[in-house]
Amino acid sequence: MDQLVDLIGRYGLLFVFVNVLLEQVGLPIPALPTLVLAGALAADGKLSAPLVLAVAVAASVIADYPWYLAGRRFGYRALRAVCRVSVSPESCVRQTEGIFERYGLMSLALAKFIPGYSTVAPPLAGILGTPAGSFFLYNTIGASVWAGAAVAGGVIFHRQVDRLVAALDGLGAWGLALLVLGLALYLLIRWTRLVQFQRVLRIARISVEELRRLLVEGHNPLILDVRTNLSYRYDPRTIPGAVRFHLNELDEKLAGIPREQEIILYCT
Amino acid sequence: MAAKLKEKGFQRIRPLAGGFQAWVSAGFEVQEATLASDLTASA
Repeated sequence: MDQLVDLIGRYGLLFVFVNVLLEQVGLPIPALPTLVLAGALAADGKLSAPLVLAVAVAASVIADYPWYLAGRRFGYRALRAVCRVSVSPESCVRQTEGIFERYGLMSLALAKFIPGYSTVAPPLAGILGTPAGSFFLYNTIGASVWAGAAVAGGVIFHRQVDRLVAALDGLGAWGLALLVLGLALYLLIRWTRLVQFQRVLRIARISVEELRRLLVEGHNPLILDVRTNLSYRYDPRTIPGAVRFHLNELDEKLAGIPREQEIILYCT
Repeated sequence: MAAKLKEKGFQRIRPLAGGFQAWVSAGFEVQEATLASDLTASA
């Protein structure tokens, strides 16, 4: 029995570490259930809660740092790369910026609680030139609050978690199948959302070469620059002739424009 | 965004694949920040 406890004590931490690392790098693997379970095991004395917390925070910070550096070095290309892994590039970049624009560095501290935001916040902080010290501080606070809440949840509800684990255990192979099914369902939901979004985006796109040809040949399409203020400030240049445009000025800006006008939109 | 404009009745609307980044990477000319575009931005 001692050996078993020892085993859980050792590999439980490794499992937490790898799980959090993979999620924070951007893979669609949830870490929250693992943290809650680890919290419950800690309440049962099989793991040390402070150690679980430390390992989770370390994994999170380690996974975020390369993305922060990538943001600093490669700018918006890094953000698009993360967004491509997690959800869709366009919506993701815009939403992320919206959040950062509003809450600044504080958004890093709460990032882990905002779905989809936690993996994109680090590169964005890098792009916007957040000093490494501030990034590290706020990111560590964010990881601690997030992992702390999950582990605390596990500690508080450890009886319920234990009962759930016992129930799954009682089901034997079926219990394992149920877990796998749950994970598969989770992945399916994320994948469906991705496919749906890409279908919306597939509304005939125009390539940069084609747009350039339109301009050279004097077709004068209406070009709308729909980047957020944040990315516009980052690079205030525009495609020649483009008009800056916000979603909330949709009606006034388009008032006098004929419906058959050719319109090209671009964002970051 | 493009979907919103379609709802408003604009038919010939196309998003630029790759966005501004792709335009810049392709080495095509850009317009420097002008007072006019800044004004529309803050409007």
